[in-house]
Amino acid sequence: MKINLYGMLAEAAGTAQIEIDDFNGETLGDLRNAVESKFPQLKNKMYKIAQNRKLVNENEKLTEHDEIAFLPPFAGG
Amino acid sequence: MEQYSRQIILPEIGLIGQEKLAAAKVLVVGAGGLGSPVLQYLVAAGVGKIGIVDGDVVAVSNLHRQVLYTPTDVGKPKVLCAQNQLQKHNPEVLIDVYNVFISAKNAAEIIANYHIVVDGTDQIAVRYLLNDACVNLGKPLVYGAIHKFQGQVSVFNFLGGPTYRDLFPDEPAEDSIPSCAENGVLGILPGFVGVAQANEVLKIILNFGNVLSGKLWVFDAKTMCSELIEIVSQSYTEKNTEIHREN
Repeated sequence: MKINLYGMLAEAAGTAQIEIDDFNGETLGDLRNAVESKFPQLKNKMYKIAQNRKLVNENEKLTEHDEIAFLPPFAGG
Repeated sequence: MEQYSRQIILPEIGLIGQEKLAAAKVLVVGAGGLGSPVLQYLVAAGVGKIGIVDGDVVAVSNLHRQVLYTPTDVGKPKVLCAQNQLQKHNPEVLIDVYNVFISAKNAAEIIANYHIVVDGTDQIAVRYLLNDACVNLGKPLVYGAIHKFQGQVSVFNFLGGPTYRDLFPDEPAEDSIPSCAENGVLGILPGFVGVAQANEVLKIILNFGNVLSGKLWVFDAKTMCSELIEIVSQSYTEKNTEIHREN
């Protein structure tokens, strides 16, 4: 499963898109745990998860072809 | 009216729309990277009254992106330099300046004088402060924020729509979300994002198109890709609004 990262999340992970190959979970919360296990530098970062371009809570179920993005807040102006 | 003739001939604007612009009162908080293009385009469009809030002075390091200012402005208050420059462009617009930083003490008093608030600030805590003040006062908040090569735009608290706290409910620690001064920023980026904010202000005033309420526009200048992300209201907003009203 591919996940698009924005802002400082991409910088922390070193890439704007990450892939979790061995994901066996069901929900977005499971996906977050899997991502943060593989990329521990994302732990304690604030971000919201978009599933198919909609912000959802982490109880939502995932399907194989979902488009997932992790969106952090930006401060700059 | 001649200066507005090319927008008046648009069916979406017309003379009635131009009169709506002249009657509109817009507050721009932050006269920096985002505030510069927002102010330039709203003044040029003929928005009748514009307020500018910023307690900062112009720095040399501002000049690559804060295109309202010139080297002779360095060290002077931003709001006065902005007012001077903008008034040259359009003397018909009434420009009120507040040479202070927005705070919990002055936010309500300043915001109450305007119909629409534009967030061009550079600190995460101020974004929450502005959001909560706009919720409390029932004002739409045209949000823009930037990070290096990327930007976000949305309209919060518009006709009962989501607020900033629906996007990011919990206020992070101030030093956890770096500013442009700490991160660096591509000079043209606030141009893209600020013009998008000015566009939202015009849509709200003139009632055309689809206002970015309930949507977050995310833009990447490196790839020129953008996405519209749907924001869903959270119960937090109702609770927060109730708390404000009780107070």
